[in-house]
Parts: sequence; C-alpha cells; structure tokens
Amino acid sequence: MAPFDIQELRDLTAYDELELDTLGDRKTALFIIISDTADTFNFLVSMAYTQLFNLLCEKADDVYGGRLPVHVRCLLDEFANIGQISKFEKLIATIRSREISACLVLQAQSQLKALYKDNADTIIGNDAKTQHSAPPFTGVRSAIALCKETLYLSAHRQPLPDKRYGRDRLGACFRCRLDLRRGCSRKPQRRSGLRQYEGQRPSRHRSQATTHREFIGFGTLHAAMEDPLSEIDRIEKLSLKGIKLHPNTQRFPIDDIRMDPVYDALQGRLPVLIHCGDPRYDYSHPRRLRRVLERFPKLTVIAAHLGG
Amino acid sequence: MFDTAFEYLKDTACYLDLSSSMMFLGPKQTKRYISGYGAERILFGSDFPMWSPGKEWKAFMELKLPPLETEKIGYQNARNILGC
Repeated sequence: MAPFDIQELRDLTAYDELELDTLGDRKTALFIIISDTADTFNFLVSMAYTQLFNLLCEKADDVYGGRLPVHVRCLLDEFANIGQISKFEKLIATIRSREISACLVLQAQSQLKALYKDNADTIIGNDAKTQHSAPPFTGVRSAIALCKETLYLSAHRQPLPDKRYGRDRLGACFRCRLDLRRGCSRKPQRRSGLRQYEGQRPSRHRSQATTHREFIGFGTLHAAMEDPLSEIDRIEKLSLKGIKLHPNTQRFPIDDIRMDPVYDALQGRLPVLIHCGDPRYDYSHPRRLRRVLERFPKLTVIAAHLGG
Repeated sequence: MFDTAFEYLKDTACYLDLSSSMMFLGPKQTKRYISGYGAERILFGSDFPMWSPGKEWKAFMELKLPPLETEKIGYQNARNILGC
C-alpha cells in the first residue's frame, strides 16, 4: 500500500472518471500509457484491466443480453511488463463471448510462462481459438501483425470512410510509380505518388503530356517566386494548359498578397486549379478563395474537391 | 467543410471538381451540391494518384444524372476551360 502515500496517486484513484463500462457502447479509444522501466505503478494498470473486463462483462450480460454492441479490443503491448492481471486465464476464456478480445504482445511466450506459470497455456489456447473473429496475437507473430496494422493506419493519417478506398489508394500509388517509371525512365523513389508528381519540373510534365496524350499538363507557381510572370510565359511556351496550386503543401494562403500580380496576369490566359478546403489548414479555406474571385472576376478558377 | 465552401462559393463564378468528394458525401449529397452549384460549374475529377480513376468514374456514373449534365461534368465543361 506504500504507493498510496503519494497524494497524486490518492487523487487519481479517489474518483472514477474513466467510465470503463461505456467502452462497449460506442467506438472509443482509450490509451493507458505507463513507464516501461519503472514498475512501481504497474499494479494500477492491472487493476484497471481487471475492472475493465469485469465491468464490461457485467454490462454485456445485464444491459445487452450477453454481447456488447461494439467489439472492445485490448491491445496489451509489453504484456509481460504491465504486471499480472489477476485471474486473467479465467477472464480470457469468458470475455470472448461478450465481444471483448485481448491481443497480447510479447517478446517470447516464455515471458507469459514466467508470469502466469501453468495458466500460460490456457491463455495461449484461448487466444488461438478466437483467431478468426478478432485475432489475438502472441509471440513474435503478434508484434509483426501489430506493426502491420500500425503501418496501415499511419499510411493514411486520417480515418477513411471506406476500407475499399484505403486499399485502392495504396494500389493507385503503386500503379502510378510504375507509370512514371515507364514514362520518364527514372528509378521510382521512396515517396508517395502525390509527392512524385509535385516534385516534377514543368518540362517533365510537358514530356509526359506529349508522350501520354491522356495527360493534360499543368504547371505550378509559388507566392515566393522571384519572377512568377516569366514563369507563366515559360509554362505557356511548354504548352501546359493551366496552373495547379496546392496552398497547404506549398504553405501560402490562396489570397496571399504576393499572388495578386500572378492572378492578374493569369486572367484570360490560363485556368488555375486550386486545392480548396481541408479543416486541418487555413491556407486553402474557401473564404480566401472567395476574396481572390472577388478581386479578379475574369480569373478562371477550379476549386478542387467541391471546395471542401 | 463542404457546407462552408458552399456558403462562400455558391454565388461566385468558379468551377468545382468532384475529386475526393463523392466518397465522403455519398451519392445523395453529391447530387445536392451538383444541383446547388449547377452542373455547368462542376468537373469530374478522380484525384489520381490518390484513387483509381476507373472506380471514381464508375461512382460518378452511378449518380445517374441526366445525360446532359453527365456530358457537361464529364467532358464539356473541362473542354471549355482548357480550350482543346
């Protein structure tokens, strides 16, 4: 009980703010992060897990007739270092039917043996049985599988509405790399398909647009360019058909005052395709585009992504 | 964000493209915005290499817009802008 001499710990455990029993009601992510070197407070996490499993099982039985409406999946990384969860071998056998699963991440199965002794086999056995519904992992394989998932998520950076599109997007990038390799006989680089296109110089766009008739090449400009007007001339000479601006990646607002002479020069000459909208950035906010449209009424602008 | 954009851009003269929007809006909302802005201001776009152009085109055709609007969004508007 010595740790409870610490006032902060007493405060932390005085009230229940986590509402662990609500995890199965709707999609929720709960992160429990503890030091992986000092084990003084490991018992807190063990307690939290025991509570979590008990509360969720009760809720599933009492409220939802035996199954939680939202599957609760616990990713227990460094499972051997978070302390022993009491009666875990019994819990893991009973939680499955209530739509709760646990994925244990260990360096080796012997770690589980050291901690749970004879019960380690029960835990592994239970894991293996449920692999089809919600794969709980053990051993090295678990780490690999988890890594894959982590990579998959970080590759998108934002939640995608439909998994089909997620896979398709990766596929499209890959195909794009192949296309580029054919198109410009250059080794594909370890960059996303989008970046590859952005990194290209107008002359390369031109060469691709002439070899591949299905491509209509656009050039790009930047607010910080020293002589954007002569660049417009060059883009026209290269027979490129318009200007593409991506204010978020190029890091200047659509209505940047330095762009005024550029927009003025482009009126009646070349259309401008502008990436528009994205709640994470203000550079491409539609209100900025509106200001430009009001100032340059003869400018042909295409707002990408329906402006949002 | 699509709603905010509509507020700011509905009475302007800019064009808008459908890239990376149909999948977030769904067919019903996409049609609402197309009729809100007017088909003569909308261009088809796939956001390649983010998504597959073929699949995006399929999703666009599944909107089952009147043939004249499909023609404008899928071809005619872009042709007018690019002058080719």
